[in-house]
Amino acid sequence: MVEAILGLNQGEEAALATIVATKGSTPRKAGAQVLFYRDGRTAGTIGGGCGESEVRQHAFQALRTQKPVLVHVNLTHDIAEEDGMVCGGIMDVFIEPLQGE
Amino acid sequence: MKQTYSLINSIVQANRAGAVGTVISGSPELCPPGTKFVADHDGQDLLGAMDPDLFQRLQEEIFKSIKARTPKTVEASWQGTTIQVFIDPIIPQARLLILGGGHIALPLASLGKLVGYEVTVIDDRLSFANPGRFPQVDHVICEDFQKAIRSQVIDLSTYVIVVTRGHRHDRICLEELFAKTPAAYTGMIGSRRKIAALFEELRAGGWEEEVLDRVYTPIGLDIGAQTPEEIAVSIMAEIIMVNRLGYSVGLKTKGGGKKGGQ
Repeated sequence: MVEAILGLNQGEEAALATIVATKGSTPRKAGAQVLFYRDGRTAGTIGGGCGESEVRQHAFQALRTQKPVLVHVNLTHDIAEEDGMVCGGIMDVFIEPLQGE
Repeated sequence: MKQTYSLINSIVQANRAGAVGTVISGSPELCPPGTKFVADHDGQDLLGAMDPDLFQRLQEEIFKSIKARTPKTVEASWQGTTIQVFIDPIIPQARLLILGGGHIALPLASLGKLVGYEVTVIDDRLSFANPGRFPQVDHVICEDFQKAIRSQVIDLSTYVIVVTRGHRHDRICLEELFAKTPAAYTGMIGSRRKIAALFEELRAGGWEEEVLDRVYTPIGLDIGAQTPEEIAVSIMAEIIMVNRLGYSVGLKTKGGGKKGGQ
């Protein structure tokens, strides 16, 4: 991940999401990271699925506001179950906007 | 941003332990979310972006996190507010040092690479220590065991497996290893009979019981391994266990008797 971040071109924006706490059953644990690039690419994963896609929306929001944010992702609700996600945990994810220097 | 990640990268490249801390909730004025520290293994903040007093309060948790090699979120009360900091340890790359390039070394080297270790194989015979025999490993060294071990860095990220062709070379390896800083793991292959005889010699040579006791032997977890490949799995499983849990329930403790397999 460090290499991906240092590899950002000058002025290139990306949002780094880090799982900072989990409760219950989650695909990845604290420390897992994903980097969301502006163009939709990613590096790394915090477990994929709708949990990660929910985080992606917050990440793009953070790129707009240029403010870090702590989000709470619940994988236990009905929608997750409808999509066949059976992990059933919750996770806190810290998102920080980055810019290549 | 660049300075932070360059510092992290320098710790990673030097294969040292450390930790990165990020304020995830705090006070916008005193310590805004996103504020970071980059600590080295001595618990010094190399970045200097965080208030030194707050950093000081976190130091104990930083050491704990590095030791446990587990990220965690901690809370600190500081200047009348509660600050949450996510501490993420930088874990040095684990290294596998295989002493002896024989039958067991082949599958062991492959398994070591498979689970993400940096792998070095040492043997004093060119036919057993050449890159053609171990195309996948990081370093193949053909040299006298004594000399080769002396030039190796042995630290708490190093996992050493003694699988030379015989008891005489095993002894040379063990004595060189005993003289160096402790490894995270030192295991030696051998029958209980060989182990008992070798340890007797080492005791006679003046090595203390507690030094001998550091050696995982008989080596590996008890999974009934027979073939070189199975034995390599048993050894690698024990190393993973020591790495992740800090102890082993291997052959040494279970059925392997104690201290030299008596």
